[in-house]
Amino acid sequence: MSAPDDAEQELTLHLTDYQRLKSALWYHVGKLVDAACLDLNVNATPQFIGSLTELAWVQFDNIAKDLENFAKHANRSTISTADVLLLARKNPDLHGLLQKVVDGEAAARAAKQAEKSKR
Amino acid sequence: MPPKRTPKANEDTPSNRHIQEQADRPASPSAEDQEGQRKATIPPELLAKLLKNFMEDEGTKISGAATKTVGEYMHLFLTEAVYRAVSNRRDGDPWAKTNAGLMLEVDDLEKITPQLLLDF
Repeated sequence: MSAPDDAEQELTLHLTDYQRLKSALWYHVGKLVDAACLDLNVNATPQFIGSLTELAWVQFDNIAKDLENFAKHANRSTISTADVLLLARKNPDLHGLLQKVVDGEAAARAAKQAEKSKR
Repeated sequence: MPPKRTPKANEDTPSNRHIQEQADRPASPSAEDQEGQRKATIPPELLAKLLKNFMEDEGTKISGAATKTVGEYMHLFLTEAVYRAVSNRRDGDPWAKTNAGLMLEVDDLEKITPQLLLDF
């Protein structure tokens, strides 16, 4: 295989990767919206779901870069839950909800560890 | 498989049920965890891939617990978008309060997006 071929293959691979990621996100946003709509007794147009996917995509872009920089600022190369909590620093209610998830996650891991050491 | 949306079925449900649901609304985005298992969540594998896709440095990793927390964050973001779109539409249109089979349009999302992005 020649070099330009490789580059071309990589380009198409990258493009399909992007498309596959976006359609996967689209599918899950659709499911989420359906669940929320069922609770509220409303319906959403496909256009609504598509726009919301686009919005989520941009939000992912923002938070991925934020998280990366938060971790880097703390001299870490792995993003931890503390970095995610920092995302919600401007919204106390959101921070509280995320803190609950983090606490639950930590408790689950502690329980697992305790079980392991018991054996 | 996800349950398919059936617009007809939604219209058939009694309207007093939706009033009751409206009363629960402030707490309801998080009220789902009381059931233990959620109906719809973004899988952690997809979350990790998406985040990796947007990162500038290839070497950055993300812990499992952090991925789950991001999942909760996005879940809240998306659910909040729907709830705000509905509440915004119902505020603007008194007739919509009694209309159970309300259709969410792109316009509804456009109206709530600026404040939503400021809050997240």
